[in-house]
Amino acid sequence: MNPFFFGRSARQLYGAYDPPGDASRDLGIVLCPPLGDEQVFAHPTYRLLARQLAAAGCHVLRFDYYGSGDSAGDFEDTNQADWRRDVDTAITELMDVGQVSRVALIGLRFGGTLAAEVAATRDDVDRLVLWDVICDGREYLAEIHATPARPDEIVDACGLGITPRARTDIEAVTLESFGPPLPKTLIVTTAASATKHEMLRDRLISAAVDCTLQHTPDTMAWKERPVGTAAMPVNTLKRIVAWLS
Amino acid sequence: MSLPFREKVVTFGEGKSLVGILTIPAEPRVGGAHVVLINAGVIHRVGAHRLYVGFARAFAEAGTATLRFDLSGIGDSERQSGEWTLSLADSVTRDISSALDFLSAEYGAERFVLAGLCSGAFDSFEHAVHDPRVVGAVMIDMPGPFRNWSYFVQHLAVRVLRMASWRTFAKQLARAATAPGDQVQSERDRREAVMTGVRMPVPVEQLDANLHTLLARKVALAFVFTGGVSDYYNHRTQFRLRFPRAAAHAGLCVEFVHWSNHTFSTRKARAYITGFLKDWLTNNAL
Repeated sequence: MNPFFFGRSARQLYGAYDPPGDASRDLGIVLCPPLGDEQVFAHPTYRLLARQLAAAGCHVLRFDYYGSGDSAGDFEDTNQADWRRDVDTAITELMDVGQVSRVALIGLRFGGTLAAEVAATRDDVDRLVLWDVICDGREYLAEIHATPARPDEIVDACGLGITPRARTDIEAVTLESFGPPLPKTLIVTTAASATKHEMLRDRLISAAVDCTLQHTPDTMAWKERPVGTAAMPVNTLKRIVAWLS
Repeated sequence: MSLPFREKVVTFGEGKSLVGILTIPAEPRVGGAHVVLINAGVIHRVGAHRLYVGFARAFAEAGTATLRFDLSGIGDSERQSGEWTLSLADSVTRDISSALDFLSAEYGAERFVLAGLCSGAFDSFEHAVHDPRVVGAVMIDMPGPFRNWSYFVQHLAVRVLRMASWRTFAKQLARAATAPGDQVQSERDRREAVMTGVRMPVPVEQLDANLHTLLARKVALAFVFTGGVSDYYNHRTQFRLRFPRAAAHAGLCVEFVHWSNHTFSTRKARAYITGFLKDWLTNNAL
């Protein structure tokens, strides 16, 4: 694993590149993290997933959005367009570092939302994994308690200061935000209910996207684990690696 | 506009398997100490709610370089060889020593301040006792034997005034009357274990002795407690009453942020603790 900063010097992003094991494939995989605390809690799972994908011959890049994790900046200074731009920058970086011509994106929670938005704008993304993806921005904001008392308030939620601009961006996310065009897509759901994701799958299939939904309740990688437990969503990781292999 | 610092990815330790981010001030303070931030539990080096990132950048504004890194097996740091033959305490000691050795060799650092939240506080304190290079330590919500009579007086005073507490008390009494003694004890042990993470609890006499060792060595100490650890700390003067000799020493500072939770989840709380520690470093010439 090679940790490094990349991108413009005034806007450097943190990345961790896992080179492929023995049998290298012409496939790079960018892991798009969720936002805020969910990214911190998902870190061990993303690290394990990156290793497994690298062992399967892929070039893998984990990264932090500007204003999050180890990357430069503050979250309050960013918005959804910035996060999408960061995904784009990460793809370009991985294609350069790994010398690959094809890329797959894996996105967990809001990282999935961003991955889908970016995948719809590029020709070189040929696989997409949407893992417990957020497809209802209003529901997501309510879930993380990001409801402000005043419209101009910056709300503390999920370890972030969510600005009115970011809130407006997130609120605008609905099922209609998801392509087409989208590449071959796997929707992975680990929550007990998959109703929203079934609707997303149906929408994508009706738009001629090659889309599969796998619904298997599992450990939620993006939630805080109680002290003393080390459970990882190993079955979900196996499914993702198998699908991409 | 240029930033008052730059950030650099660093790797060190055996096989360069430990990963950290070094925040280097644009205008370093001459003779200043280097701060090293220690993981809070299994949260990687950014800290809960990015607390450690904020610390490092604020300290850099005051001219202090800060390394925040992952202990082996946490975040991006690999487990090192022989990991399974070491106790957790020995593994942590080895990793912190590696960080200090690295900063000495690569950046000429000679004086260090260790800082951390929760288990990171515990590890900072324990390492400071045995490493003479450490000239300051910050312990935020350090688990330990801080409860004393004044804790229980405060605890009871608050409870007596709350009606809901009486109902809970009645339920607990009924449960204790029917549960075997060892079951009650194991419940208490489990709670203690959660509080200390997986660190071994330290007897009060040992903590008192270690405080004296450090203060005699002129190590500046800052203890911060939040409202999130009301299980063992619940009023401003508790530390002074528990450790009167140490508390009388000018090198020791105690802050009680009762209005914040354990992980400083609001921007207001993060800004407060960051400013407090930045000032503490400056005031102690660290």
